[in-house]
Amino acid sequence: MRKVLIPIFIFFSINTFSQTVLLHQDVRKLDFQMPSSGPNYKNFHQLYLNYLLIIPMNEDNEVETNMGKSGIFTIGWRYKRKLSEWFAWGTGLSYANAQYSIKQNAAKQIPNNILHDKEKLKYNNVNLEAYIRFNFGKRGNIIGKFIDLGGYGGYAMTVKHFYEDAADKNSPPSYAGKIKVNEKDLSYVNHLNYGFIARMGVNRWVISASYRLSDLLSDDYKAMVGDVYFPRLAIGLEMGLHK
Amino acid sequence: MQKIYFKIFILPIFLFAFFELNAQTHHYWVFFKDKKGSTFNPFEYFDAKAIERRIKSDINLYDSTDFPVNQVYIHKVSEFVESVNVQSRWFNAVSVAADKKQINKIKTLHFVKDIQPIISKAVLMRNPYDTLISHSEKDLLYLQTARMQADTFWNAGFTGKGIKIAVFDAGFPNVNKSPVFAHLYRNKQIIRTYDFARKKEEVYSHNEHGTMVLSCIAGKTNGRYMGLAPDAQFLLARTEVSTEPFSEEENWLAAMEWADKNGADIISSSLAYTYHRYYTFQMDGHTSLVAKAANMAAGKGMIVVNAMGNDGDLDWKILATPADADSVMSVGAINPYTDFHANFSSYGPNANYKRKPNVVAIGTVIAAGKNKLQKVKGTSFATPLVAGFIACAWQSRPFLTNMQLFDLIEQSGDLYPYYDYAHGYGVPQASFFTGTKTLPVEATFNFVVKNNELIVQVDKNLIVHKKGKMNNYLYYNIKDENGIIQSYWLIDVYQKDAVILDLSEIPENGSVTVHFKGFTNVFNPALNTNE
Repeated sequence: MRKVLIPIFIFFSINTFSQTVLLHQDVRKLDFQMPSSGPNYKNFHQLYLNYLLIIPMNEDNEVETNMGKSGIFTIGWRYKRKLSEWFAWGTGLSYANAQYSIKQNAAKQIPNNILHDKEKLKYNNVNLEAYIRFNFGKRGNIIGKFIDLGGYGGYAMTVKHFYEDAADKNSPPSYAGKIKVNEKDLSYVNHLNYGFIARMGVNRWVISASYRLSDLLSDDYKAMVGDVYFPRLAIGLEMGLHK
Repeated sequence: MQKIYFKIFILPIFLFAFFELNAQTHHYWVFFKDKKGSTFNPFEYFDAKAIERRIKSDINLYDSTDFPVNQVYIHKVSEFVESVNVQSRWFNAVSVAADKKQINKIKTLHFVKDIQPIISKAVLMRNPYDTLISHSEKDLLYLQTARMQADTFWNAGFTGKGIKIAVFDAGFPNVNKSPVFAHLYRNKQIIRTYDFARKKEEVYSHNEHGTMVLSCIAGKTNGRYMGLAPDAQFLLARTEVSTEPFSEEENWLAAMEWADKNGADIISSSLAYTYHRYYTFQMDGHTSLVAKAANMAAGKGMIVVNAMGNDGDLDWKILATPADADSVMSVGAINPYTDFHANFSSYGPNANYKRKPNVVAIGTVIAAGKNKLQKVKGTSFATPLVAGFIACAWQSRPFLTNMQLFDLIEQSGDLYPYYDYAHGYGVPQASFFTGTKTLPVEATFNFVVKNNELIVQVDKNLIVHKKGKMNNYLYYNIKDENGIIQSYWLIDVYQKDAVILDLSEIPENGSVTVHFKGFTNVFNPALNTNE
């Protein structure tokens, strides 16, 4: 019992009579030198989210997609190296989920001519990018106004062919509600992709565009069905997640 | 067809944006080499009060910085630019709106000395979020002035009478209608107003921040004055425009000269420029144009009172310009309920390790908004409380120059001569100026050196134990050999041995300064004596 009481007494003695530090500041930790990292310093890292709408061009060999339902969602990390007040270069790594919603009509040939209620080709890409940045105007430690031009290259880790059909309610007992199918290990897709990127922004808000040069469909498959391709241009908004 | 659409509309977006950014009109300061041919009559230009202030401070009435800008130069420049906005006599400059091509042409003019872009964004020093709800607003209303011993000033007849205060802010809606300011209107204490954004005299609209600030100098409600100088005279300038961030710095400078011309003694300003344009190392009191202008105002006999900023708990953390200027009375905030540093109040020093803030005041107050009383917080509101205090102090010692009074304001701080970068010299006390201040006759603590340790032993009888009250505050700091504070603490004391410091923690030839219950003493280990 005594062994228990003594430590308790010591504990309360210390806490009852000790001081309370209300404020402590170490001025030596204040840094009035040019820091090395920050939105307008030598090095800058940031996370970002963006969503780009895939813009169909309706060209002859283009696969018809649904505008508004086809898009690329990206979450990424970006690094910027400032070389002067108006010029910088940078690189980045991102995960991008691209979905191409295929129009269902009589002309549909890709990936086959079967019509569904909904049909998508889904790419899960890991991309690397490199860019140069032009900044405008004098500023403090903020990103400011800028235009980026660059390129990206990536690999599709998984590609899925998704389609959905609603069964006929008037045909019991086979009625099964909706049927959703995800096909994987597709033989007709190209896993490597690359293209151009361009961005224009002010601080965390950015208008972003990408133009894919690579084809989503494999050369072997195109040899069979013809030189068809999915829309290449995507335009949308990006939000920087930095402070 | 779609392909054409793409080429015509999508691709040119980026090209258009690129050229648009380059062709945009920006604001610039154009500085001239000289004021050749300018003539100046101070008795025509200045208000009588401004002349009086200059004579009192032994300032040359024919100072070249007060001469007008050469009108021929301005006319020449106006031929090249979109518009000429503001003329600055002090800096011999005009602000213009122009694009890059136009600026390049102006650069070739032989009388142009320098051109600087104006890109800045002022931050109103008010934190819109208020989480403190446990105390009544009436108690707070009393405390915001009582903490500076306002009643001592008022009982001695010092209410700011005869002192002109210029308030720079974002608008003063309903100041001309609100009952809080009825006495100012009735007694014609608002001498002049000017909206530098709209170039009109009417300022009673837009952002209510200025109304709140003015109430913390001279408002009256519930039978109590909200600030210390209800009888002062006022010049109200609208300089800050949140929708036009590029023009605020030039407005502020123009308002400064306007205030000088109209005889202002004190300028109370809540503007603050931080990371949008500047880096922390530029907060040195000499880099930003507004800091230079504030120093120049001091050179002309005025006291500029400026908020430290509300970045204390943010990444920026330190003060905002022009609070970094040497001659500015920079005001930090304390929490009224704990009576020490409010976490939002920006810290000093400036980038040259000059002592900032100079003083502090309560930073959570009852202020008069556009339509109702509000509990608000920010160094914006500590600033007008101090401006009102200075007005009363100046009324009590009208013979003092601005910098003599500046020193006395610091000395009136309840921590003086103790100093730290969170509290400055403490909260100014009216009793210092009325001669009723009581100083502790005896030391409240001793330094004891034992086993290579410095022990600060306080007088046990002074330790008061009251539930819910933290009133045994002991402040101490460690300085280096140059007298610059390296680190500082505030502790609540519960026992006789209040601080135990290893002597090795004190820099060579450095010192430890301690303040407890109105008594300050310095320990110097090199001498191993109390100073």
